[in-house]
This record gives sequence, C-alpha cells and structure tokens, in this order.
Amino acid sequence: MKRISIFNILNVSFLVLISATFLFPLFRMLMTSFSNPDQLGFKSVYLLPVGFSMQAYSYLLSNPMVLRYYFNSVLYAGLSSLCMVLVTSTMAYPLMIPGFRGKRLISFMLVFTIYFGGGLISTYIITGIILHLKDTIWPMVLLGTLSPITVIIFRTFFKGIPQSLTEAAQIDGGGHFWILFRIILPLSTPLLATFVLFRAVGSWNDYFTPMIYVSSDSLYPIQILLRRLVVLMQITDLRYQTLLLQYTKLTPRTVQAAAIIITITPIMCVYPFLQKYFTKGMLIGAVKT
Amino acid sequence: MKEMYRNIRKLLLMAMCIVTLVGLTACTTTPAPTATPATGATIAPTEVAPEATQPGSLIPYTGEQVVYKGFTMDFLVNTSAGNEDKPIVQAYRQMCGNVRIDWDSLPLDDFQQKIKIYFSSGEMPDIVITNNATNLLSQYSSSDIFLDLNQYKDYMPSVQLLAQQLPYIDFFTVNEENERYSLPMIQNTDFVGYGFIANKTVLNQYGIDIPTTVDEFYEALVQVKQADPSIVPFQVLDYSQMSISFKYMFGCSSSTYYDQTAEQWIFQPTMNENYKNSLEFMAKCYEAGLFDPEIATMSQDQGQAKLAAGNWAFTWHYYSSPETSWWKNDPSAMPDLEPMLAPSYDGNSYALMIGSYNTQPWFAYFVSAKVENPELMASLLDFSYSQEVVDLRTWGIEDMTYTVSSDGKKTFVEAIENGTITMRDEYGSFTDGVFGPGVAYGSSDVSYILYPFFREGTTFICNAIRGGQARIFLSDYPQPKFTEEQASEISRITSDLNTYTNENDMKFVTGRLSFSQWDDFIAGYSGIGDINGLLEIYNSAQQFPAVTPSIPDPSLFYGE
Repeated sequence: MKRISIFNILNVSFLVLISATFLFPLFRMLMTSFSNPDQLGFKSVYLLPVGFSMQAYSYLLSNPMVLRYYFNSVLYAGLSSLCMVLVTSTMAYPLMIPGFRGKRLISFMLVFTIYFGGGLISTYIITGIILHLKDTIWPMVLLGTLSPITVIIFRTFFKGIPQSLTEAAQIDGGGHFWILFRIILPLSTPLLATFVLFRAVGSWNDYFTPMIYVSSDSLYPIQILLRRLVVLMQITDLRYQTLLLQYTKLTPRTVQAAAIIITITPIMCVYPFLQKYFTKGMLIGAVKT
Repeated sequence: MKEMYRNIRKLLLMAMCIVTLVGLTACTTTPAPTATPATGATIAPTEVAPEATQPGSLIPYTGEQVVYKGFTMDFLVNTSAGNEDKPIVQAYRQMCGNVRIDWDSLPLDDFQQKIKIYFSSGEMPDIVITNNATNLLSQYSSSDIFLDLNQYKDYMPSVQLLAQQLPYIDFFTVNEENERYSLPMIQNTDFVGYGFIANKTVLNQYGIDIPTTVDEFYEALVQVKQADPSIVPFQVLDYSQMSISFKYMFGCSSSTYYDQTAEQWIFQPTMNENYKNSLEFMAKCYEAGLFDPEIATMSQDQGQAKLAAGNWAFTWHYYSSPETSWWKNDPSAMPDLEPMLAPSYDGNSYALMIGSYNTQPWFAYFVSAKVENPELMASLLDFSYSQEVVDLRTWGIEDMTYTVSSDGKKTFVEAIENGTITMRDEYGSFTDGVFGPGVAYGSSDVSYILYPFFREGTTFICNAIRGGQARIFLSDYPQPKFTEEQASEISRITSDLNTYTNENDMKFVTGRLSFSQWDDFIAGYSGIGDINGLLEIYNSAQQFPAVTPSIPDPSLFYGE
C-alpha cells in the first residue's frame, strides 16, 4: 500500500486551496450568468445562482452580431498565428545559417526595435492612413506579427536542431525552403505550439487594436462587445452621469457575466490540447550547449 | 508511388493557399457603394448641389442620399433593437430628408483614447461628438483638422439665433479670428437631479428629524449610530461621491474656483478655509464610525449593492437612482425616502448644479475639415438646433406622445405621464440634436422625471432654489477662454496639483494624516506646482460672462 505522508496531504490541500482561490471568481461569474436578473438585483452570488435563468445567454446569442463577432475573433486569432509562424520562422531561419551575410546587420536592426519604437500615433498613421488598412482585418492580423524576441527564440531553437539533418537534406538536393518547412518546422512542434497559443490568446484578448483601427460593426471581435457591456456602467464623473442615466438602461449583471463566459470559453477549450507542449515550451530559448 | 503521393500533397497545398488568398481578398474588399454610399460621397467635390447656391438651410435635403460617418460615446447612441423604425426616429429622418449621420460609438474610456488618436493623426470621421470640448478646442483648433463652421453660417440660421440668445456659445466656440470650430451640445436647462436623501423609514423608527444644519446633521448621524450600530448613518456610492457631497455642503471644491465676492479665481485647498473645515468634518464623522466602514476601499458595485439594501439613514445621489436602479426590480422594497436640502454651513444650504444651461459646454460637435459637401453638413447640424427638432426630442409627436391644449400648453399623454411606458423605449430616440428645454431638469427623456421620487426630489430642489432656501453651487465653474499655450500650461500644472490634493484628501479624512500637519500639507504645494502662476493665467484670461441660473418652474410642466 502506498504510504501517504503528511507532507503530501498538506501539499495537496495547499494546492487545492490555491486552485480554488483562482477558480472561485470564474465560478462565481458562471453562477451569476445563470441567475435570474429580476431576483438578483444587487445581491451577491456565491456557490449557487440566485434563481435560475438562461435569459442572459438567450439575450446575447439572439443578437445576430454575436456570432459574427465570434467568427471575427477566431479569424483574427487563426490568421495572426499563421502569419506569426510564417514570418517569424522565415526570419529566424537565415539567422541560424553559418556564413549568412548580413546576419549581424539584421540582428542589430531586430534588437534596435526592442528598445526604440514609433509609438501609437506613428503606427496608426502608417497602418491606418498611409497603408489604408483602416477598417480592414489586416491591422488585427499583421500588427505584432513579428516580434524581435520571438525571432531570437526561434533562432536559438533552430540552432539546437542537429546540423547533420540539414546537411543531409542539402546533400539530397533540398533547398532552404524545403529544409525549413520539411525538417526544421516539423521538429519545432513544441516551439510552434507554445507561440501559436500565445499569439492566439493575445489576439483573442486584444480589444485595443480593433478599437483603434476598426469602425465597422461587422469587423469587431467579441472583445468589443464585452467591453461595451461591462465597461459602460463604470462611469464615475458626475458630468456623464446625467447623460448616462438618461440614455441607457442598466445592463443586467447577468448579461455582463454571460458575455464574459462566452468570451473566455473558446480559449479555455483550446488550452488542454496544447498543455503537453508547455513543459517543453517553457525551456525554449534556454541556453543550448 | 511515393513521388506521386508527394506531388499530390504539393498540389493540394498550393490549391489551399490559392483558395485562402482568394477568400481573404473577398473578406477584405470594401463593398462597392450601393444605395447608401459612405461619407457624403454622392456629390463630387467639384459639383455643387443645386440648393447650395442659395444660402439658408438645405434641410430637408432632396438630393441623392448622403450618409455621413459620425463617432461618439456609446451612451449618446440608442442602439436598442428596432430604434430606427420607431416613430420619433422616423419622424426625424423624414424631417431631414435624404441625409443622415451613421454613428459609430465606443465606451467612454475607449472613446477618449480613440478620439485623441483621430485628432493627433489628423484623420477623423465626418463629425464627432466629444467631451472635454473646450480643452480639445484649445489643443487642436490650430491643426486645421476641423471645419470652420463660420464659413457656412449662411446655412446655419438656427445657430445664429441661438448664439444671440446664449452668448456663451460664441464665447467658447469662436476664436479671435472669428473662426468657429465646434458647436456645443446645449443642455437647455439647469440640472439639479442630485441631492441628499433621507431614509424616513429608519429616521421615523428612532424619532430622528431631518437635519437642516451641519451640526444637526452630525447629531442625527450619531443618533442613528447609537440607536442601531448595524445601520450605516451615511451611505454613498464610493469615497469620491462622499468627498464631493461634503465639500459642496461646505461651499467648496478641490481645485480652482471663481470667488464671486472677491471676483477672482482662487485655488480652494490653499485659499478657502472651508476646504479644511469640510475635511475636518469628514474626519470627525469617519472617526465616529458614521460612514460605511469600507468607504475608503469599496467599489461602485459594492456601493450600489449597499444602497439597494436600504440599510442607511442618509445618502447623496441622483434622485432617479432609487427607482431606476436600486429598487428597479422590486419597487415595493423601496423605503420611505424624502429629499432634503444639504445641511447648511455658515447659513448657506447649497444645491449642487452639475450642468448649468448657460455655462461652459462639456460636449460639442466637431466637423472634419475634409468633410464632403460641407454646406449640407452645416445645414444638418444647424437643423438639430432648430425648435422643430428640440420639440421632437423633448415632447415627441403631437397626438401620439403629447397633446396641446387650447392655450398652447403641452401635456404628455397619460401613459407617459404615469410612467407606464418610457418615451425613449416606446417611441425611439436619435443622437443628433440638442437637449430639450427645461421640462426635464436636465433630462430630455421625460420618462425619468416622471418617476415619483425623482419628480419629488427635483421639484423640491428647484422650488428651494427659486424660493431662496438653497444656493447654487456649480460643479465646475465656467472656465475662462484660454489660448493654446495657456491651456497647455494649465494642464501641466494642475495634473500634479490634483494628484497631490486627492491623495492627501483621503489621508486626512481617514486619520492617516493629522490636522496638526495641515501647514506642512499646504507648504507641500510649493514643491508640486506653481499655484500663483496658475491663478495668474486664470485671472488674466478672458472671463466668462456672469452665470445666470435658469431653474425650471415645475408648475409649467406638470401643474405643481
């Protein structure tokens, strides 16, 4: 019979407590979303909903634009991840090739941008005005695609792949694209999974970029809807209170809670499938011998 | 075999890439203009609409459909389902003809970020309604991104008339070169919807009278505390609301304010003794446990929940909140509330005026200098200031939402009068236009004032002001007219001053700082910002004309 030590008991108890602390707000939000708004009022929700009602979800999901916002969020997350992988890997690969001319210059330019940037207005002028990408999907897909630090991490990982493989591929007549897409990338699954997830989650949670660059309702992601529902009622300045209370109805807490739940659910569903890559992913970028 | 398999895979991959690219191109292609083209583009810039050769309003517009892009805060836009089809909105569209503004909106904080980007980058939608209008005007008027509306004043007869009636419009919007880069959203009535509220259910239980002076107020709070420690004697939404309510009770604020006696601007924390007196009073109440124990840290949501619980004796809030928020879903749970005057200090009971009709505009329209067909935009904007539109916004449609008696008096239909339906929800509302005149005490949606307690509260305060029992205290005294440099300097100085003031405000009230350190606190300002320099700018700038209140007479609107 396996011996259970006191340390194990305390350890597990502590971890359960910590997990509960993190999970409880989410659980409470879930219970609030299923509460009856007429009974809920300003009461607090703990372990069970106050009354029971699916009204909040039916209200949200009856809005035809909700599905459109969802689709947009998925599109931006998927496209931006794909672009990130393509652009970053094609940028990192030549930097790992010995004897590649211009490697130092490109590396310097990459590192330079870590310290110095144009700022929000410059980015907006270039992206929105000069390149005419305002009110399109491209700011959400392309902005942030190439991160210098990600390139450096990719390069470091690629360097860790045995050179004998790439040399063998070259002997067999493989070109650089063949080597990158048929040898390097398939061997970089933990790396790609980790950064695809980071990028997808970042894109999913991003409300600022669409807020700045998009005016059309049909291009908004789900985060904009969430922001509208949740942030609207947090106005404290008296000057706005007069207009606020004249022109709006209070969004029920249940609708706000339901909006939060439907926004985070897809990403939470994706995490378990990529969990196994995290352990390997955590060591990515570590110094390789 | 392997080779064939490899080739098939390559072909499939290429096909997928081509399909994806084609699909993306389709997704991102801007639809070709249809019956409702964007941004007023139906008339080529070199072509002039036939009506444009004749000065005067172009509304109702009979040319081809023109749609302008607008941007504003989302609480100014009615996005409820079916609003566009409702009678008042339909009536407004008919009045305008073939021109309209499609409003894009964002929550306030996001709006403020995006509008700065628009203005800083020089690209903005055709028209925006923004807050903090006078400061934005100071900052960006020289950047040539706004349309000079005075160039089109021949198309704006209503605005010209209104500017004669309300001199402050020109004061704040016309510069020394006689250029007008904005038009204010006019709050055509003084707003007095905030005030102290007494919970008579609690007070009657312990035989406590509604206090009239600050000292009586303190005694009443103590009596409540002694009678039942579980009741919060004074409950508010959060600390900042408490701070505001007590400061105006003492006739002061936390920043610059115009001393009408001395006829000069002063910095209240250092130059008005009442500022210290208000903090001392708050500290005394805090120490005695007369406030919510979590007042310093609680969120607004928590504050709302506590107010809705009704376990308090006095509060200070918007008069409509009990009926539209706290007991909205269960009106029978609402205790017996009574509006009360602010406890008087030094013989003065102050009524906080959040929005005075003839003072500094907070919200304003700005039109892009690149707008197509500016004459039509000017006409549309002007039309929103016309009496026709004001009446439509305020009263609705004759014989549908209101009736007119033989002596010309308007009366809302019974269902609106008794609050069975809300005009905005039932009949719709539109964004363009100004607030209605005094019927609603600052609310252009009559439905709100017809909530019994809101009506009682606002009537009470209006009558108290008109009868001389209460004095007006403006939430923000109208600012002088500053140049761009002055506005920039003020912004630089006041940012740090306000932070220092607000941080120490709470420390004194909660006892973390003793009042024996008051002199040190005052001395600390010299290291924070140049108050003398700030006041010099204020006192040397072009001053706003004297503020004259326009308190509505309740009897004009519902016979009281």
